[in-house]
Amino acid sequence: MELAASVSRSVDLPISLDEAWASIGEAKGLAGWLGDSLELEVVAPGVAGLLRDGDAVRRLVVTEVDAGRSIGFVWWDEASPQEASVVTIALTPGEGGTTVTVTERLAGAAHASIGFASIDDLVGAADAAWDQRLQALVGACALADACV
Amino acid sequence: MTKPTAADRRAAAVFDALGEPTRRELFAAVGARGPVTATELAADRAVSRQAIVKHLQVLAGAGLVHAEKVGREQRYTVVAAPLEDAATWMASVGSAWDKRLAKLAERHTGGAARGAPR
Repeated sequence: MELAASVSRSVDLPISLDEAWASIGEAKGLAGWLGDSLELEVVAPGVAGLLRDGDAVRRLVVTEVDAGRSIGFVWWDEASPQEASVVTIALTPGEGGTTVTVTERLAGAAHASIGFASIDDLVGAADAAWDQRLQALVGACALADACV
Repeated sequence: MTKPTAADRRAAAVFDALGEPTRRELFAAVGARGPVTATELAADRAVSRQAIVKHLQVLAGAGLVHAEKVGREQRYTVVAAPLEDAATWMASVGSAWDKRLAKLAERHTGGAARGAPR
């Protein structure tokens, strides 16, 4: 018996790999189709982001980037970090365009696949990344004398 | 995108439980044999009774088998309902990606049919 704990979808786009990569490998490109809004500085391993879509808020941590080809991240609903899942978005050249293939894998041990001992450690790392960003923001505010 | 429900959590437990090949095989065996004990399952396999009991406990935790005490042993039967939760999770996640990829296709094709997710 086989039970696939994953969902996969593909779409063919009449654009080059480079054009498709701009929608996958750049934070601005991901925003707007992945959800209503995406707070993510860059698409790079270890970078944490926040995705809003409707009334749902998802946290994500980028886990891998194969430039021009694929990205991977772990994401979870803010209210349910125990249900993290692993997403990969891959580009392959096709006839007259590029195929975008998305795979989402639900795994209780999603954290283990990216080297964290527990989901709490993963959430902690994401929190730390956000803390650093906030500290940088506070620092920038102080320098600009613009903090309220 | 909707918030995870209790059904989603049950689906996660199902995938966790059935993500291990030995447990998948045991789940299928319990389904095929009907009420069966760990001792009976161990008789056909190169796995200890103790290990089988642990696997069955994980399956029971996910709601995939029901244990009933008969004498000194537990007899296990399959419960199919949690599989529906797993199927629902897959349909829900698939639908969400269909919508996202349709947005992506619209960005690059202006909504042409060629961009429809598959």
